[in-house]
Formats: sequence, C-alpha cells, structure tokens
Amino acid sequence: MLGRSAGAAVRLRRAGAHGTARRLGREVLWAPFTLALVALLVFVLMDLAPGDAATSIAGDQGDPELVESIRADLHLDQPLWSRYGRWVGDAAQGDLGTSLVSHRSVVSSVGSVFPATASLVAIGLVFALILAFVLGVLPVYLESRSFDRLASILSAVAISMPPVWLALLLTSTLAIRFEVFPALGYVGLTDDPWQWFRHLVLPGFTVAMVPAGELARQVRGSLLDVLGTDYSVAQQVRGLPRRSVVLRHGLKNAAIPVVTVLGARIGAMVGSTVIIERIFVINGMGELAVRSVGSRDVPVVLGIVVLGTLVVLVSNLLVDSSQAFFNPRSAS
Amino acid sequence: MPEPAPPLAEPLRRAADRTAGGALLEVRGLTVSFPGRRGPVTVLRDVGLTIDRGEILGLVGESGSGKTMPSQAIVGLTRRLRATVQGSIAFDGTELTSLDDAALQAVRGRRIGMVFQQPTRSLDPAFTVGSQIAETVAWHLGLGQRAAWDRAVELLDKVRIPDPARRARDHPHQLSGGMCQRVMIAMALACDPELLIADEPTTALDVTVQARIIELIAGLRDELGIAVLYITHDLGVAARLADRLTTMYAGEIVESAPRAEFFARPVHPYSEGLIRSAGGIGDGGRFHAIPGRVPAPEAMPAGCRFRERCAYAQDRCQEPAPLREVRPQVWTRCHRSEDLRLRGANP
Amino acid sequence: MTGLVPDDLAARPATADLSATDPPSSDPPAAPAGRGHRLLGGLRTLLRRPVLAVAVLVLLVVVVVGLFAPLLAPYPPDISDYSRVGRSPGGPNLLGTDAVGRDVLSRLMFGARTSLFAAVETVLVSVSLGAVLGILAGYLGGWVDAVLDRINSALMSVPPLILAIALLAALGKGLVKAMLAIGLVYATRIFRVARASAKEIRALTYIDAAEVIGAGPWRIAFRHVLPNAISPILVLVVLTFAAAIVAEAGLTYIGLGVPPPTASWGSMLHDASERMELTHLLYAPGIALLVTISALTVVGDALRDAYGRPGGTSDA
Repeated sequence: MLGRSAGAAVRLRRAGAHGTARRLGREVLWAPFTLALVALLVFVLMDLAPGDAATSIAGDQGDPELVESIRADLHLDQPLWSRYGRWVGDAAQGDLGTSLVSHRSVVSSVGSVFPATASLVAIGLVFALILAFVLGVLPVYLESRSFDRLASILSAVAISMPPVWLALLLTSTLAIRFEVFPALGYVGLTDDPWQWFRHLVLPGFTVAMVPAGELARQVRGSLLDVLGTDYSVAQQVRGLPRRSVVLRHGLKNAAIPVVTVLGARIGAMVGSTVIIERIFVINGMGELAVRSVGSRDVPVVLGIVVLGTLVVLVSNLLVDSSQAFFNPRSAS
Repeated sequence: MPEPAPPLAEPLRRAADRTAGGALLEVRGLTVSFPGRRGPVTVLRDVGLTIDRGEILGLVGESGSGKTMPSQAIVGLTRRLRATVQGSIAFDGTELTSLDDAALQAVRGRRIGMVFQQPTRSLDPAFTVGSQIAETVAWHLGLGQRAAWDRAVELLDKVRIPDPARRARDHPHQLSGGMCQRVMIAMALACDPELLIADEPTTALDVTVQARIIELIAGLRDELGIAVLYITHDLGVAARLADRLTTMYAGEIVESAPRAEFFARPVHPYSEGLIRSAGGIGDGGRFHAIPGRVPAPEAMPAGCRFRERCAYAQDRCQEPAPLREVRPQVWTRCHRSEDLRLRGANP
Repeated sequence: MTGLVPDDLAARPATADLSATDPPSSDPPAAPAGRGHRLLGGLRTLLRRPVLAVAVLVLLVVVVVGLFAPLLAPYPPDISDYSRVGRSPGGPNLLGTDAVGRDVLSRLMFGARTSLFAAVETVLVSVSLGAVLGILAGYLGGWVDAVLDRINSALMSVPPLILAIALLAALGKGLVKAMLAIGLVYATRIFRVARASAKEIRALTYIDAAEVIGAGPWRIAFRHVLPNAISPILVLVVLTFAAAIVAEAGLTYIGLGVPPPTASWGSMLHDASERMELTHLLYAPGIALLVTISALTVVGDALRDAYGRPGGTSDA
C-alpha cells in the first residue's frame, strides 16, 4: 500500500505536474509514507534502547519468567520487521495498538487527550496571530518610528522568552496574586465554554509567545518588501487610502511567505505543549507523551508521534491550499 | 461627496470644453534635491513645463537627465523620499505643493492618472485586474460594487482589450506585457482624469506592441480630450505622439518647442544631437551618438551643463545659461541659439 | 518548544536599533560579499552598534561564568545550609537562598555551566550530523540526495519536542541524552540549510574546475564547498545554541533533563514553582535565561544581516 502511494507520487511528479490541485494531491499521497517512515524510526530507536516495556512493567523484582511471558504476550520477542509490519498493518486499519500500561487502546487514550491539546494550540494560534498583527503590521501601518522601535524590541523579547519562565510568571501574577485566571486545569469546550476559555488564556498565551515574535518579525519584513514594490507604489499614486494599500493589498501579498511556514510553526506549538501542559496541569497529548516516555509505553509514544506528525501534515496541507488565495500565480 | 462619473459617451463635447481655458498644468521653477552624504544633491534645477488642456507634451531625455523627476514631484512621490521640493506646480489653478497628503490623494488617481514603465510589475498579483480598476473607481467616485465593476469592464473595452468581461476576472500574471499596459492605462483613465502622465510606458514592450500603445494613447486623447505628459528617451516615439517637445538634460530643461519647429529648426545643440542619433534621418542612415555622458548630479559643471559634450561650445558657455524664449513659443537654454543654424529633420 | 530555529530562513529580522528601518541614505550594513573573512573586521561593526556589543559582552560573561563557575561561585551549589533557608537577596547571599538553603547566585553560576555544556553538546551533534550529511546530500545529488532529503523532511514533520521526547524514550534520561535528542532534532534543520547551500555552491563553476583537476568528491566537499556553506549554517548554529538552552531548561523542569541536585536554570525554576512565595527564586534563573537568549538572538540577527539571506529557504 505504501509502495503504491509513493509510486503514484513519483509518477505524478514525472508527469510535470504543477498547480495547486496536483501539488496537494502529491502531498496527500506522500503523507502515509512519511508517517510510516517516522514510525519506523521510532521503532528502531526503541529497539536500540536497553530494556523494554516488559522489564518496566514487571518492575524490579520481576522474575525472568514473568518478564518473558509478558514479553511474549506483547510480541516483544519478535524481530523488528515483524513487529513493525504488524503495527503498520494494524495502523492502516485504524488500530494503533494497546497501551502497555493502561491496556486501553492507543486510539482511545490519545483520542481522549487530543481535544485539550487541540484547544490549547488553537487558542495559542489565535493569540499569536493577534500579537503578530499588533507587533508586526501596526507599526508599518501607523508609520510611527517610536512605535516601530518599541514593537521591534517587544518582538525580540517575545522570541527570547523561555516558555517555562513565562508560564510561571503569568501564573504567579495573574493567577495567584491577582486571581484573574485559573492557574491550572482544563475544562472541556462542551462542558462550559467560558471556563474552557478562561483556563486556556494563560497557557495559550505562553504557547503563543515565541511564534508571535517570529511571525511579527517576518510579517513586518514581508510587508515592508511589498510596500516597496512597483505595484504598491502605483496604488499609492492612484490615491488609494493607506488603509487599503497596507491592510488589503499589502497584507495579502505579504502573507505569502508567512503562510508558507505556518504549518511548521503549528508543529512547533504542538511540541511546546509537552512542557506547557505539565506546568499548567492540562491533561493533553504532551502530558501523555511525557508519562508514556517514563514508562516506556511504546505503542502510546508511537501513537502520539504519529498523531503529532499528522497534525503537522494536515496543517501544511491546509496552508498550501490557501496559497492559491494569497498567491494566484502558484495556481496556474 | 464626489460627483458621479460622467458617462463616457460624450467625450467630444468635453474635449472641446477642455481645450478652452488656461493651461492645465503649469510648473515653474521646480527644483528638487535629495539629502546626500556630503550635502544635498540637486537632481532638478529650475524646471518649467506648461501643458494645455488636451495637449500632448513629450518630455525627452537620456537616462540620468532627470526626466522622471518632474512627474514624481507632481504626484507627490517625492514626499516619501525625503526630497526638498521648491517651486510651483499649479494644476488647474491649484498649487499642488501646498496640499496636504489627504488633499493630494484626492487629486492623484482622480484628476491625474499615471502609467509606469514596467506594466507587469505595476499590477497587484494577488487581485484580479477588474477588481483593481473597480477599487479605484469605487474609491474616487463613490460607486457601488456592481457599478464599479461595470465601469471597469467598460474601461477595458475602451483600451481595446478583447473579451473584456472575461479578462476582468484574470490575474495580472495571465496577461501579456502589452495587455498589462492597457490595463494600467485603463486604470489611469478610470476616474476620467484631465491629465495622464505616462513615464516610459512602452520601453519594456516589443516594438509592435509599442506602436499600438502609442496609437491607443493618441486615440484616447482625441476621444476624451485629456492632456498627456509623455516621458521618454525615444525621440521617434515622441515625434509620433507629441504636440510639443521639451528636452531635458542633466536636470534642466534645455529646449521646448512645438513639434514642427522642433524638428525643422532645433535651437539647442543637444536637441540637434538627439535628432541626429534618432536614426540617421536624412543623413544616409549613419548612427550618430552624442559623445560623452551625462554628468552625475554631484559633479555638475558650472555654467552650461552641456558644455563638455557640445560641438559649438565657446568661452561664454562657462556662464550659467538661463531659459529664454528665442522665438515665439520656442524656449532654449543655449547662449548661442541665435547664432547657430542647427540641422533638423523631417519627422 | 521554542521555534527558535525557524524552519523558514526567509524571515527578515526586525530588530530594534539595527537600522532595518532607516532609509538607504544612511550607512549600509557590512557588505555581504566575501563570506568568512568578515569576522575579523567585525570589531569595527561592534563599536558602531551598541546593542550588538552589549549582546556579545553578555555572552562572553555567560561563557566565562559557566566555564569558571567552580572558581567563581561563592558557595558550593548543591550543599544545603538549613540555617539559611529561603533568605531574600542581600547580605552574604547576594541573590538569596532557596528553599533548602542553597545559595542562589552560586546555583545560577553553575546553571550557566550546565546550559553551556548542554548547548555545546547539542550544537556539536546537530552540526556534525546535519551539516555533514546535508553538504554531502547537496553536493552528491542524485538518489542519495533524494533519499536523505525525504527522510529529513519526514523527521521535520514531527513536532520538535515530541520527536525529542520519543528519542528520550529510547535513550533514557539525563542531560547528555536529552541534549543528544535535541541535537538530533535540530540536525534536521541544519541538514536542510547545509544541503541548499551545498547545491547553490555546487552549481558554481569552480567546483567543476576542481573536479576536472581530479580531486575526489569527499575532498571537494570538505575543502571547497564547506567553507562557503558555513555562513548560513553559522546563523543557524547560533539559533540552535539558544534553542538548546531553552530546551534544557524545559526538559529539566519536567524531569527529563538534568537530575537534581545538579544546578540548572530549569531545575531552579522548578524549585521556584514549588515555593511561589519566594519570588526571588523565580526571577534569578528566569532573567538569566531571558538575557542569554536575547543576546543570542541579537547576535543571530546580526549574523543574518551581515551574511545576507542564508541559502535554502525553500527546497525543491
């Protein structure tokens, strides 16, 4: 199955394919291959490590026979290719195995924590975009030297802000001292939308900070480039209002390079949840990942890696499909 | 509230209206300088231009002559570049240099349209051609979306783009260079301006396309009665289009005359040189380049700036040369215009 | 994780004071030509840009403190003195003491040492893997390049910290292993840049000349391609340094990095989080981290300005 998808992708490229639809098609076809490759690498690494889940489940006093029987149960005594092949086969049918620790299906374990992380990343993304607009677009639009300087400094600080410290600062001031937002925990969206939001403000802000700084700097540079182009000058000469020149025409063109890497930025944000969920005691994917690493729960770790990669791939796909909107030239 | 756009159906009457009355554009004593490393650098000195309603003025000069600068000063692009602008630019009686940005914006695009050199780069790649024209129209004339779009299609038709309704939905990268330039012209004309400034509009295009664009501009002038400031380095093009020619050298105007006079009896050696190098007209087809190069703005010679390249230079050319009317309607900056019998050509 | 090492290198830095917004009539930045020899002429540039000078100074201080912490620290970092628990800054303990009586300043200094070692290890791993493989791939082209690039792209599609943690699941805990994992993650970024740079240079004719003379591919790669590919990689190295320091702090905080009682800015933050009322515990390591990372960011931006856009912003 994988071979077929990779083959199809190669054939598409040879056919000189270009244009949004074909490009997206190619990406979609390569995706399972990427996921499988990533899973293989994790498999290999897990194998290289001393000990395995059987030993950690059995614990220190586990007698060798017990460990062996656990191992046989979990098929850990099979060769690598066999285990990997079985995993891939199951995965293709939507079964990612069972947690070695909780005995829940991986899909259910990871699925139950996914909404929390998804919410966190979504809110973080929104915050990051807003901050990036204020720090990157506004200074250009307002043409104020001093505001621009200030925004540049703030962007640089934002990029350099260690998330751990930011999280603690926010918690100690806004949650503990002033009690504006809750210090920890997560509430489901369907349970209580307002509390859902309140609980995500501080962690969302933390997740957003570094990407916001990067986005701000990038969009500012891109916007300045656009405003220097012939067509932008022509628009100004035509007497179009600044609002239109900068915010309508300028932003749309400036967004192109920014949007291109948005998928990767989202991936980085998902990664950062590993630390941030621990600090804010949110039971999300990152938190589950850390726990599973400790217990060497290979299937769960695999599942999280695969799901995380899937999120990035889907983000890239969505972002690429929006390229046609921002950059009509790419659609031909 | 901006008045609704007059329908394009009654151009002839308005053309007649337009040719009546005083000059549309009067530039006097325009001097533009930029801050430089060792003090201000003057790129235009004491430039004067007059364009009557419905007249096509050809502004001719080599690169480095500063021919683009007057147009930039007129539309106020110099403000962004931190230039110092002295002198007067009167457009239909209004002094443009004293307008604030907001007031100038109302004039730009609405009463003065501008077309640039690189048409494919002058259009926003992210928006359709039609929406860009419609936006200008909607902003300046207050039209609604539907009306603005219809007007955009009408304008595309006016500049003779085939199948305008479909083309309006295209993006700039789908159009050829010549078509992009037509679109630019359509956009410049969108609000029915009185003056069109064309800065080397055909330089980046093929010769055949060039001819058609020039034809288009001439036709539009006849049809709409708009005045045109046509800037070019190509004397041949100016010859075909302009009612009046003005040559610029090293930031100064050196000659200005009606077309027939300019070619029959030029009064400045530089004009003579340009006519000769414009392709051996009546000269057995030999190429004559003017020896030497335009001096850099920081290193201008004192006195007549053309002195070092002039075949007729004398001692008195070391004195600064003022612009003066040597014959009716013919202006020159040469000390020796009365003495010299310069060779012209039949355009 | 911090996306401190952006996957797109096209980002134009909008840095305060570094003349990015000045009009063309002001002094141009150090010309981008002649990569590699600018470092010596860099002193002059430093004097002209105070922010950069301060940043370099800060980094020097951190390096010196980190290297010589055992000599410079007033107290041992891991000995508890229960008679002086939770003291505020002032007196014999310049920055106060923590919840178990350890001197904060000394722990801060040793924390610098930890960060320094962590960052150096990460950079070594990521450069030796990423740059070497990247240059080889870019130079050799063909199927080697295609395969390596595919694998690299796949790895880059995994969220960075999640990949690191997965690697840790295999490798185990501890500073060395943690930074090895981070190093592997960032090797992918360096691979991308190195490969693009190598391709760019490969296309230049003097490489063909070397081949004609008969130099073997390995030799060409390392003697000709590498020196010129260095500049964009250098920018990335600085950013990786910063990312490593932040990553170490984060991983140590959640228990996957340096084990206690070793001093690390991350563990200091963890200690602070357990005694939120002792605010000085929170600020010392935090400010240290912020200042160090900011300095690295400023230096990284300056390098990027000086060398122009690094090659390899978008791959084929």
